Amino acid sequence: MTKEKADLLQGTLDLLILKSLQLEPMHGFGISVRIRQLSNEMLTVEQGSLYPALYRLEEHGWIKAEWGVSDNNRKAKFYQLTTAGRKQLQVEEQQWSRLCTAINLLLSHG
Amino acid sequence: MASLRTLLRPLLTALSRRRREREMADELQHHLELQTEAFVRGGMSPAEARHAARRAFGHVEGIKEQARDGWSWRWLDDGWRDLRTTVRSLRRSPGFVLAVVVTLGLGIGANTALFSILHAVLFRPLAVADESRLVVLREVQRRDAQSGYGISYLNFHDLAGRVRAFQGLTLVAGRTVAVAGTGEATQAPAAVVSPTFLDVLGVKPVLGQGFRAGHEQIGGLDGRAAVMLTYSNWQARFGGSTAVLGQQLLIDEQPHEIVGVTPEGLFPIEREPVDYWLTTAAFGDPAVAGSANASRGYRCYIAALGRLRVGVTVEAARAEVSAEHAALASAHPDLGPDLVTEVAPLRELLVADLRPRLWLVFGIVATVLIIACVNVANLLLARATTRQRELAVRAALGAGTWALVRQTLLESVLLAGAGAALGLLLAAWFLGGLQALQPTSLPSLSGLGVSPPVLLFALAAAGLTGLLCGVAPALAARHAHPAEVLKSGGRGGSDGGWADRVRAALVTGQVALAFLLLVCAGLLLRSLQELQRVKPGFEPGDILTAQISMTGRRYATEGFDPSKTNALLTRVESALRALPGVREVSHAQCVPLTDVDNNTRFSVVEFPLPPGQFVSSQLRFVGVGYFDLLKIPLRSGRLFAETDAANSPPVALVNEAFVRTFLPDRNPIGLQLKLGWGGFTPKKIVGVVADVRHRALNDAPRPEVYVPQSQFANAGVTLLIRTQGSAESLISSVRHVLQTIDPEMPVTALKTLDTYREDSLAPHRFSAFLFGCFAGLALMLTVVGLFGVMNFHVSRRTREIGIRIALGASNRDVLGLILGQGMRRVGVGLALGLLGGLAATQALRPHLYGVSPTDPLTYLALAALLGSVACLACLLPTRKALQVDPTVALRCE
Repeated sequence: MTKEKADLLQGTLDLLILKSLQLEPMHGFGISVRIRQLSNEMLTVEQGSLYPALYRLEEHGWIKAEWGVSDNNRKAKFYQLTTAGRKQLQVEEQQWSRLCTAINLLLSHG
Repeated sequence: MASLRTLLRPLLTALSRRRREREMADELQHHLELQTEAFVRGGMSPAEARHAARRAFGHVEGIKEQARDGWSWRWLDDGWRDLRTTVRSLRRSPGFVLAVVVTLGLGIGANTALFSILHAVLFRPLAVADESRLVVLREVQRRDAQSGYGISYLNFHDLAGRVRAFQGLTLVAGRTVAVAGTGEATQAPAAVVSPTFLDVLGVKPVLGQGFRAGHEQIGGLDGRAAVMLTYSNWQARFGGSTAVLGQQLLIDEQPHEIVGVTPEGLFPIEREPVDYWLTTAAFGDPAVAGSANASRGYRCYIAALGRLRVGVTVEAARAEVSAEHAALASAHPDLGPDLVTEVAPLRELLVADLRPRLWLVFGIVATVLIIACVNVANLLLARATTRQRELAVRAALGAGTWALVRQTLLESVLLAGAGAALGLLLAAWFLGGLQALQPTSLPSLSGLGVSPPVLLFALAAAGLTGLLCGVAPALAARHAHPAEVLKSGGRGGSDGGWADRVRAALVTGQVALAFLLLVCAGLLLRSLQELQRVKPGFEPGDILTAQISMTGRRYATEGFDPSKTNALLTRVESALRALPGVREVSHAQCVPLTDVDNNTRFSVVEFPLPPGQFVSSQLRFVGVGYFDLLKIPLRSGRLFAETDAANSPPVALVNEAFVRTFLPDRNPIGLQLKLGWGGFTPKKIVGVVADVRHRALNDAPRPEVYVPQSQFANAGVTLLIRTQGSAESLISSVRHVLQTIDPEMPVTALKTLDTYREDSLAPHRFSAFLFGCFAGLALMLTVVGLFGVMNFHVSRRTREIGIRIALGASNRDVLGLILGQGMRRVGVGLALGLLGGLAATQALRPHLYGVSPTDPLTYLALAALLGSVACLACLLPTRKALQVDPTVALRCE
């Protein structure tokens, strides 16, 4: 477990959740696993942040939840992107890349 | 739509709160299970995996709490929880809740009822279009307002022709008319108006076309005179039938055709309701000298009503009217330089005299509510103190100060809300009763009830009351120091002193307010006593009065014939004298205390005033035996005699006030009086009679001139019958005699003079009663409040008292200690109340008679009353404390 961990930048959690739901609906545990895998174990999401974020995104209408049956044959809550959520994902991706470009520019002048 | 959903979502989610909680628990549980499985797959034993998953997951309840923040109904949830906590804690003390709700219900109910009267009278729009553009025009003598307000027909028409500020103008007057053509002949109140009346008010008749231009001509339009019915009369006497249109009525014996019915609630400028509307023709032909309309000096109309043109202000209209009045006055120098035409907003005329009285009553009721609030605040405060331990525990467990304050306030607002609900019920019940009692005592009082503004007022009163009651206990909650309270074991051996001080201040304020109200009530009561003792200047006992009207064709071929009128009067009087039980009979055109009065301009021939100056006096037309019958003493000269007949030299009597005011240090007998009314030949003063109080018992005697009816006949007179024994028993036989002589002669107001006297006292009795009730209520509330606070105070000091007694203090010492403390508060309260009373009773001055607003006796007596009752309220709890055995007291926890 010597892998370096990156701290989550404030406000990026929403982006990560929306991104991880882009392909298919998933339950909360799945989302946390997906984020860890996709980030090559560099990013982990605490449950204490994940669930409040999920409920908040649901309030915004960017994701919606449905009850389904999970792999272990148990009732589970699956989250999926709404149309508004897809738009929001685009917006956040653009914002993120603009931010990265700006920060990289700044650092390259150092 | 989206915004609506945004608004509603918190509410909807709050409603599905349980379901969401369950789902969240399921979801988190599922997460844990999956994590556990993942660890098992990683090689851990199931037990190990479960622990590891839990560790990795963190504090489940903490996560739940954080997750709930994601739900936007957090605040609502908090509020809901607070509400439930509050309701639950209130349900545990039903007695307390009952006491508070009833106290506040009475207070808020009284305030709401009074507000709805205030609102109806002062603020509710009148039943006319665009009231703000309606103004009233009246002439008045600048330096002699006693001579009254009004306007004469000729002056009005000259002004109306010139002033451009008005879109329309109408005259208004009151008149009692004889009505026949529908059953028994009666007298009915009518209003005399210009045909433009309804147009000026901006209303349409509910039936028929109403008056048209030309109806005001003598004989009417195309020879047909017109009359309109008021809505209430149409319903009551004509059954609301549409067939009344075109029907003929005999009004003052002239045929009139019904041309319309006016809308419900339409008022005739003065507050008294009327039955009929007549045109200005009722006051005679302005072209014929001697008619009321032909006199420029006789202001027989109450006022003119004008509708301002759009955009014209009252000030602009006032300026124009006063300029045109000046032009009029220069063309007619006999009007005099003191006569002015005033312009005022319509509502001013309707409510000017009621406004201060209503606000006064409202002030009193509001004071009672404040006293009630103080009681409730004290109850809440005492409750807060006994609940200190609970509050301290909650504070120790992390409840914020704000949460504690919020809950205390919520409790009082909730209680006030319940109080307001009860208050609204009480107010609705009270107002219903009031309307049933006196449907016409106030303008536009019909339809009084709980209207939206009244509801709003009750809500505002409840909110304010809740805050007012809750603020002291809330502040006390803020002062709760958990450590200290818990250390002292919640007995609250020491209160921190803070709540005690608040309680003391509240009780002191309460005593001050109650004293203030008591003083007001006491002064009014003393004033009533003085009024009842007033000698009106005549003997009203055993006198029956009856008003008769002798107008019409039977007494004159053309117009009005004085000799026929007086011949009839002589016949009536001798027939009445023949009745058994009748001792004396006389008559007068207006009798004291019957609300009829005359005023005339006059000059003394021997002492002419400088040109342009005028003086006026009250004028009475009386029968020969009038003074003997009423026992009004003669001061000098002689009274009227049978020899003062129509063709004898004109004579007059004056009263002492007349001599004092106009002829001081002169002998009035033999001087010649020239009157503006009552025959133009100068009259010789033949005697001076004593003063009487004509208008009201509290009205100072005014200068009066008496003229014999035999020398100037009036068609409407009041008969005076002095009887042997009860005057009331003669009512039916008197009516019978009058009907035998002339069945068509309208007879009204068969009442004893004593009844008039009692009636004139009724408003005074009413306000003394009202004040007395409220002051009594205030006194009761204060005593209860004081008792409660002292009782609480003593019960909390039981241990201390026990120690004192154990250490050798005598009962007297303890009694002195407690009593001294209580009475000190009462004393300060009385002192504050005295200062307040001295200021507040100045507002009472116009309502007082024969007693000064600073009457020391009233203040002393009531201070003694309040002081002794308060002393008793302090004494009872102290005695209870003394009966406690010191050893028990010391052990008491």
